[in-house]
Amino acid sequence: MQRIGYIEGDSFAHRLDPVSKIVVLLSFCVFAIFEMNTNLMVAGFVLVMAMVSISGIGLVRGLRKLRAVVVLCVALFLFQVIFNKSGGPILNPIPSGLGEVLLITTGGIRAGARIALRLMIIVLASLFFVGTTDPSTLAYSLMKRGIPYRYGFTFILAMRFVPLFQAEASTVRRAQTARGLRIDRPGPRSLMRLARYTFVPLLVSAFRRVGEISVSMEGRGFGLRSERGYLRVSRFRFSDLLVCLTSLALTSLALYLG
Amino acid sequence: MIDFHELTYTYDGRDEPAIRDLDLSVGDNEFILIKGRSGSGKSTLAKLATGFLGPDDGEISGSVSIDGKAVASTPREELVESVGLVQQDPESQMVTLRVADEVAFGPENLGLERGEISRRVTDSLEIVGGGDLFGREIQDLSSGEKQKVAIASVLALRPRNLILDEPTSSLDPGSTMGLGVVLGNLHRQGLTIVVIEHRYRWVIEYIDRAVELDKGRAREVGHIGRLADSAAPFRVQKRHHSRGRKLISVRGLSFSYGRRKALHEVDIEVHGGEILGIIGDNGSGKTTLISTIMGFLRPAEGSVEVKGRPVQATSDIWSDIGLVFQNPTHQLIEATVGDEIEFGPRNFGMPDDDIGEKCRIMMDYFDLTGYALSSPHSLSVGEKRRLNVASVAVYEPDIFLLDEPFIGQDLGNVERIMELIGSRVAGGSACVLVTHDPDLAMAYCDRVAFLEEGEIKADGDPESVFRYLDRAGKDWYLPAGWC
Repeated sequence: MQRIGYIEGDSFAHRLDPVSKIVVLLSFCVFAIFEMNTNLMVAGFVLVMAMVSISGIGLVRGLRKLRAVVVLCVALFLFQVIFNKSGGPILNPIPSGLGEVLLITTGGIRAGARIALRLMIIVLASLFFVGTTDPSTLAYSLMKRGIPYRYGFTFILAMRFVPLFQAEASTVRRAQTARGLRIDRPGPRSLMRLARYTFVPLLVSAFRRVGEISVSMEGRGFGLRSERGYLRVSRFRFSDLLVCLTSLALTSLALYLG
Repeated sequence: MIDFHELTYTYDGRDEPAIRDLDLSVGDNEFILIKGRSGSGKSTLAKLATGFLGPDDGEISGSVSIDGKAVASTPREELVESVGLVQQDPESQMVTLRVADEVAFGPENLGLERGEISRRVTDSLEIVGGGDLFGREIQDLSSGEKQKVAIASVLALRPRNLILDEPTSSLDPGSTMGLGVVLGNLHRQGLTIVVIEHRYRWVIEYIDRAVELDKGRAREVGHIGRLADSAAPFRVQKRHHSRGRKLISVRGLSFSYGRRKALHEVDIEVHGGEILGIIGDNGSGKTTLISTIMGFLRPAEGSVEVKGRPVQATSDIWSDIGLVFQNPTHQLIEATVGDEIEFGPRNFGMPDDDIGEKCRIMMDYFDLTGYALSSPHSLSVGEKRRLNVASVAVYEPDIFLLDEPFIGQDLGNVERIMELIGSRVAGGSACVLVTHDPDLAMAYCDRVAFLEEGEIKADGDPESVFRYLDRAGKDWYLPAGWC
């Protein structure tokens, strides 16, 4: 699967306040989990696809990133179609008298569609959120709205250091390979060996980085005060308010109708 | 003003003090260089001056004061506005993802108003010549730009004293010279500056005086002019003239990371009996070239052959190559020094009797015998690097690929390692040495290739390549004493 992350852009969705996008994401999640009307779920699915396509992520690129999830959804749909025999019959490819192993029913199709749509709506709404929300903007936005800044910087530090550790892990593995470490037959023992050889240098490096980053943070006054100032300005605009109210209203209406 | 008075500091669990009876005073608006070998106590001194080492980490006697106030009893809030510390690796001191957030981090922590934070961010970036970096992402910056941001981030707290601990270790020569100009400007604006370095040629023209630290004791270095004379660190070695068989052949090699071209139609050959130095800015494609030679990266175009065999990511060439990376820690994987040296030979199927004998020779050569049962991670930086080289030299590869192996290493260690490489090359092996250091290339390489934006711009004997760089106006790439 391709890496799912923030995609730089200047679309309407990118300009929204992260808090409004959290409201949109949660609305879609609530809708996907509690909605029972298949037609309304199809409508919700179309809406979230439209949002992804105009958000600057692009529907094709988005679905390519989610290829594995799409395959899983198709598998879940087929599973229900084949094994769920509720509702009226639609088609039986095997001649009558030989059983109903491949009997396709309305109940099976509806149940399969609901499960697949549920998953796709949640995943596409998450893609919309992650793809249009800069992690720094999200963290600063939440810190300015009361999340303790230590938690906010834990998130920012993770975003900062995970790619560094990934690069280091790759270097460590190359160093081992160059000195003849071969995992020809991956078994528990050889995998343990590989993990140990990778883990130790990474751990030592991580300790060094922790030491340096804490000197850097403390040396610049981190943690001295309970409140801190911010360079960034978070503006919750009228458009944000409109997006939040629309999301909540549509979700409530859909649940009421469903 | 920074004052160390009769200072002795011993880390917990150590017998020998890291700093011993140190008396050193750095006056207001003075710019000093503290030089010394690895393990001489330089970084300890920086941390003591900034309050990051104290009685909790070891035993301390004497005093350290900043602007007349004892560091030990000064609240951190006051200390951050008195003294700032810039560390060795800019990558490891960045907290945030964007330049503006990073520079704002300190003033934000002090709870300043947004207008004041904004002013400080703009001013600090301007001072370091990084005004254009404001909206950039940290991950997109070069090492030199990262170091500028690291300095701006400390300057945003408006300290009166600035300490930089080996700030150029990951910079290329151009960025290093740029850093010298930045520090010169800061000094003119009234800052007290202490630069801690063991490679100091770039800073000599800006300093007021220099101090040498040796085993924790400080000694004033005489006239700065004499320091400049001694800045050519290595004695130029006799070139190897016997060109042996072709060991590496790279033809028309191109490689891209996504849309970014890292190598473009590179042609290069390496023969037995020669040390090839590859120099170039950070991001010029040096490490990518090494990775394609190893088969870790598959080239988009062109071919790579090692000893006449096309390179793929298979193990059949690896026993012929001794690869040493930049960071010593990344290559230390075993529990003891002895096992670490035996790791390669065992994987390559060397007979047990040979392994024992060869490991003993390597440990003796690099003074590691006493550490055979110690953890590799307990060694000093220099010892770790010697262990890395011993761990590949032990299986007697025909080719050594050394990718920036001497970052943070003192001269003695460099000379010792290059002596071994030189003797192997004299015996028919080849070495490709990636380095930022023109002095090292001039002293030890039989041939130098200059890589710029993925292309080989010059390839020949060191004198001719440095003449090319001289004509091209790349003064920062010229070795000490070049004329």
